[in-house]
Order: sequence, then structure tokens, then C-alpha cells
Amino acid sequence: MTGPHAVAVTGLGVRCGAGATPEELWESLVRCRSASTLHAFDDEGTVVHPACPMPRFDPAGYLTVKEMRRADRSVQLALCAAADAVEDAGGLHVPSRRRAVVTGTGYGGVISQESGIGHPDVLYAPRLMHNAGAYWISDRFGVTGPSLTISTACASGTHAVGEAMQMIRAGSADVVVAGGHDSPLTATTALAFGRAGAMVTECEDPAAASRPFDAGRQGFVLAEGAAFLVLERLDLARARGARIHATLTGYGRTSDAHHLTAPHPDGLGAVACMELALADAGTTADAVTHVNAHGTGTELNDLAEARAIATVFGSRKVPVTAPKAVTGHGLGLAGALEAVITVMSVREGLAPPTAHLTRLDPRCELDLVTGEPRKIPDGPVISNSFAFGGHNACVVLDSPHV
Amino acid sequence: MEAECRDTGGVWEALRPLCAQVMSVPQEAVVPQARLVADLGADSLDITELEAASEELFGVTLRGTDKSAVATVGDVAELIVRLRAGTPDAHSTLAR
Repeated sequence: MTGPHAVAVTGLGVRCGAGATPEELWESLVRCRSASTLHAFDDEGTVVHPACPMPRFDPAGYLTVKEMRRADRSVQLALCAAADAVEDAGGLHVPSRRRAVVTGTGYGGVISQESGIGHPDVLYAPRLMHNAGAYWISDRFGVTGPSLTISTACASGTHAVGEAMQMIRAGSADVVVAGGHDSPLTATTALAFGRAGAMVTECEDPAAASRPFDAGRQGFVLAEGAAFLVLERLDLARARGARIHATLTGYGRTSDAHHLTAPHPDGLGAVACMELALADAGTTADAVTHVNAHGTGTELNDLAEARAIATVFGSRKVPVTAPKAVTGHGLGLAGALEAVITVMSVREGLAPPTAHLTRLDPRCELDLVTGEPRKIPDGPVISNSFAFGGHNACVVLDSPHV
Repeated sequence: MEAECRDTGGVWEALRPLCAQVMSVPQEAVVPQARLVADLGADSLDITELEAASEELFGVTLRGTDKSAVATVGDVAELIVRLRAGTPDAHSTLAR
């Protein structure tokens, strides 16, 4: 082929409340089985809100006891998910210097950070630094090519996947382990988001607390976890007979330059971002078969994103899913987790439903998939992330058969 | 060596669980003759952690002291005991 290298997704790995494997995650999505539960953020049980924790997480077998001591929970989750993704890909089949890693995280090792304030130990800095995950993954998988960490709040995971694709296109690496991770379920984090009015704090049915695009939405539900993908030069993946889940074909990123935390009300940055991603994929809005929305369940996001999607695709023209209804919002995890979900949508030819969406906000002119998964034809699928800070990122995935 | 470690004014009793924690090994493995690197798998980060924790636990400064003769856990205990006793030779002026 001519031009930049095409990129294949050959490995997937996840660790989150909605699933400890991609298959479990998919089952949760298609069955509308929410990971949200009433969660005590502190030992005393004074800060209790709906959240999506990763239950019974045990990194044994992936990390030694010494490694566990040296790594924040967020990084432990990352290393496990990355290891699963590499295994799913059947290993990394290029020389070390042609391997890269890109991680996204919004909060870094915030558990370690908070617990060490005022009495830090020797491991304090290496536990809390945002790039710790990138180190551990590079060390584990012999990555001696580029490694870096992106922190763009809730868009970190999507930026990580997109920048990883750019590395392959630019010829900087042939295989990239890319993903996002966060473990922000601390009392301070919960109190902060609660006081800011962004997070659900009280809810009659905690399992249905995350309600993107629903008229009854109350905010997002905080989640923890990690999601990683192995991205590979398509020609090399084909040459080695790898199983290719999907191709990664487009990437867009823009900035709102509008407000510290609020999106532009008309979603102008989001519109431009989706359009750039589609153009980068060499496709048009008409061809897109499904939109995996950022859909956090905050009124500000949902209205701006709905306007943006309607602007790009037309009102109610394309099936939209907001997986955060099931997964919750894992900050730097979110975009990577949704990239994994989008890959599975492409592979399975299904758009999963948006769980417990009972009353679509009439201001959201969208065709939301509800109740049952909906069949989608082969074609480009877009995944959106629009973050605090006005950082927007979208990736386009497609079937490897077209 | 073991004889020397027997009466260390509580140093051994506190050093043992500390080493087990820092090196992430079972406490039974922490015996006076266990070599920090070869037997307990300590690396530079572990040694730094051990030094920092010792300062807090035993009130001595291991950093900057001559540790060329320190190889085993027993050697560490001995060094701490000597530093506590204020033996001048054991303390370097280059401490940092």
C-alpha cells in the first residue's frame, strides 16, 4: 500500500466493574447489567454514593508481591489489562525497539497520593506519577521504542489510542500497547465531584444511577479500571496471520477553548472533532453505522454532545449508545474502554443498548439504542470522548473485511 | 554473627518485619545470615526504602555511612546497633 500504514487491533484486555475480560464486559453491555452499586468511599462509611468499583480485583499471577507494593491500584489494573491484551494478540511480534506504549490517565496514582500526604515513603513518587503505567508495561513487554502518557482528563484513553495509531502511521513503531486506566474511588475525589454537582450522590436505585441522555439523569457515576488494546501495523498483522478484531482508521482531536469544565453549549469542538476523525478515516457521516457516545449523564455533556451528533449526522439518523450507563465513568479509563467496546461492536456487528434509558431527554435528538442490542452493518463506527478542559478526541474503527 | 544479633536492644525484633515488608519476603526468610541482594532479592529501591525506614524506626542515619561491609541482614542490625551506640567510626561526615 502507499501512504501511511493502516492499523489493526489485534489484542484487547479490560479490568473494570462491568467485566474482568472483554467477553464479560460485552455480556454486561448487551444484558444491560450495570456495574453501579452503592459504594463506601471511606472505611468509616461516611462517604457513600453509587460507583462502579472493580470487585475482587487480585493482581496475583500478574504482579509479584514486591511489584504490588510499588504500584498504585490504578497501575496494577493497567498492567493486568495490558497483559491480557498482549496475550490476546498472541504476543508482540516485532523487535523491542519497534514496540511502543501509550497510556492515558486522568488522576494518576491518586490513592497512593492521598494516603501518603504528610508522610511520604520512598515509593511515593513512583507510585503516584502518571507515567507509572507506561513504565510497568514497557518493562514487562520489552518495549524500548517510544513510551509516553497522556493526561487529558476523560479523553485520556481515546487520545492514547489515537496517538498510538499516529505512531504506527508515522513509522515510529510497528506495535503499540495503548490504553487508559484510573482508580479514583477515594473519598476526596467523590466529595469533590459531588460538590461540583457533576456526580450522582443520591439515587433510589444505585444500579440505574448512570443515565446518559435520560431526562432523569443526575450526573455521572465514578468508575475504576483499565482497558488496553494492542495496535499493530495491518500488513504485519496479516502477514503473521493474527486474528484482527477491527481496523483503526481515523482519529480527530480538537479543543473547545471555551470553559474549564463545561463543553461549548453547541458542541462546536465536538462537531469539529468528529468531522476530523471521519475525514481522517477517509469516510463521511453518511457511512457511519454507529456512534459510541461519550454520554456521561451530566446535563452539560449530554445536551452539547446530542447537538454535536445531530449536527454531524442529522437528527436521529445514526444509532447511538452510551455505555457509561453500564460501565460508569472511569475518567482516563473511559475512552480506552469505549474503544474496546467499539471494537467489539464492529466485530459482533451489534450496537449494545444504553441501559435503563427509559425517558430520552426530548432535547436530545438522537436515535439511542435501548432495550436490546441492535444489528449494525459493516462500516465505520466512531467513539467519542469530550473532556473537562475542552479536550476532544474521537477514533474511528472499521471492519477488517472491508 | 547470630550471637552478635542476640542482644541488639530490640533492633533485630523491629528490623526483621521491616525487611520482610520492604523486600516482600516472608519473615521466616529474614535471618541474620540472609544476604540482602543475593538471598532476599533487594534492589536499589529496597535499600533506599530500608535506609529511610530505619531512620524513622531506629533514629539513625544509614545514608552516607560506610556500608562496604554490609551484606546480610545481620550486618544491617549490627550497623544500626553501632550507630545507636554512637561509635564514631561507624558514622561518616559525608552523610546525605
